[in-house]
Amino acid sequence: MTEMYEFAFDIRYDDGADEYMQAFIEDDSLRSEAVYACFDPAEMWVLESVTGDTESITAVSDLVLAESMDRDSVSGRPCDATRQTSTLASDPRRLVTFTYVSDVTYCDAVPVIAAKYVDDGVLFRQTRDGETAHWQVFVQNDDQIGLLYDTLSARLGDGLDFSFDHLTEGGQWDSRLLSPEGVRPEQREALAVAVERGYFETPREVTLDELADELDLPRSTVSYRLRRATAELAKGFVEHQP
Amino acid sequence: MTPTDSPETALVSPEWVAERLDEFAADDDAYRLVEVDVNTRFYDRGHAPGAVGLDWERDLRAADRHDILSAAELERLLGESGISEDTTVVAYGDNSNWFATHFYWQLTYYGHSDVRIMDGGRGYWTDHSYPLSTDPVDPPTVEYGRSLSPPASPDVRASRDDVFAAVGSDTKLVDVRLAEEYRGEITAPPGIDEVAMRGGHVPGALNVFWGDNIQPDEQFKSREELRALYREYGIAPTDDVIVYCRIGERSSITWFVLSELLGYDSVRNYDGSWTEWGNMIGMPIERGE
Repeated sequence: MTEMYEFAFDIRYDDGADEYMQAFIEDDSLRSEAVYACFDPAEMWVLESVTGDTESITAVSDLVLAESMDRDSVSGRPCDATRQTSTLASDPRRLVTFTYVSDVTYCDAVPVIAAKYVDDGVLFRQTRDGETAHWQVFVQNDDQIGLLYDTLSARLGDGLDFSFDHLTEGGQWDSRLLSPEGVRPEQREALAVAVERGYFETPREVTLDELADELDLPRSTVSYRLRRATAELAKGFVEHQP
Repeated sequence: MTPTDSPETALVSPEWVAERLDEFAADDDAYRLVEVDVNTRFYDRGHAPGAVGLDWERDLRAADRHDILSAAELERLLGESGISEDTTVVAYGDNSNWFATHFYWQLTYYGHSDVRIMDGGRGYWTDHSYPLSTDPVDPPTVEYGRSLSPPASPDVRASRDDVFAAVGSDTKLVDVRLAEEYRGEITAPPGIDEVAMRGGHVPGALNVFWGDNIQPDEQFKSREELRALYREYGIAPTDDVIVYCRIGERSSITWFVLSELLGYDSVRNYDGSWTEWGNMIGMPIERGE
């Protein structure tokens, strides 16, 4: 029987530790999802989708498209490699890019490090939101995961902290990956709490500040997630009308 | 350049090794290069020319009990690896020399007189395009001409009794694992069977992550930076220090730094580490920060 294991962990970035992550730390509306493939440690390719407010997307696109910008090294040592990035899709609130990293002499990116330890195929997904990069590593067997845990955690540079999330069989693969449709998990959570607490009743039974407290999030984040979620639902509703 | 260029120290540079590859690869046993990796698959993909490959699971553990090699086992392993009592041994490996320093520590414990570590290990060697070979390396077996029993330096090794006695004393206990292991949130890394019944750390132990000894290029930080790191934690050169991790390999890095690079007076590696302490009945354990 074919097995799949999901090894998930977080890397938390201190303020100022990484130029690219800094954009996500400073801008609540920005979020990135990326899938990585790395079959040979000398090459890696990345599909990344960044979403956010219009002005945030404009600002971050310069970072994403700059070839000198190393978005992937976790050690503090920039990758010695060739990097090319091209735009696959662009709209005011979403930028989708393809990045090809080749001729790698060394590169302390999670997929490159991991590819040295896992021989039989591995798939990666990274989600960047605020100060946290959440990694999901999908493998066919778990016998190298312990090594990967010890190795990856040790490669992190100053201002980066590692925390293990889970190792499960099967995994919670998010089938909406790179898809613009639908309400995202964190938006769904905000929506669920809002409905449950009567935020959509008239008059409102709870304020945004109270929701923010309950979710332990900044008010602006909750507001943004609710707006995005309701916008997606409204658009989806209209689009699916016969 | 750093003092690592000097052959008189415990740490040698990759350049120093690269200049002597012919000597390492010679049948003569004056010099021998040894690669010991955590990931035992690495050696066959390419190693420094002439480097003998050791498998830590097969070669560096006692055959019939849970322990490091016995003196007799080590003498046999060294002889079969073309190493005599007079050989200059240089060890290197992956993960910034985890098992290379563990091997170094075992040789020091038993009293092999000349052993060094190649700075940066396998990672630095491959990242900087030093030569690699997939040729098999099998130097002529030699007689290790001196008994390694009893161990020449028993004072580099701590037993569980030593650790127990150190709790609440002036001895500085240093736990080099990740913070989440130290706090007791993780009793063993995911997918690894090196488990403990309880998580946490030895009461009073300081948590100084082993990786803090290492630069991004996998070489050791400068002596000045390393001195400052341990000073920051209040660990002084005159302190009695015991280091530990999960199975005693990562702590070998910290032992090497404190004892061999910084010249601390008294540093012991507790190789039983958490897989022993966290599984024993009645041992004191502290959790959290």
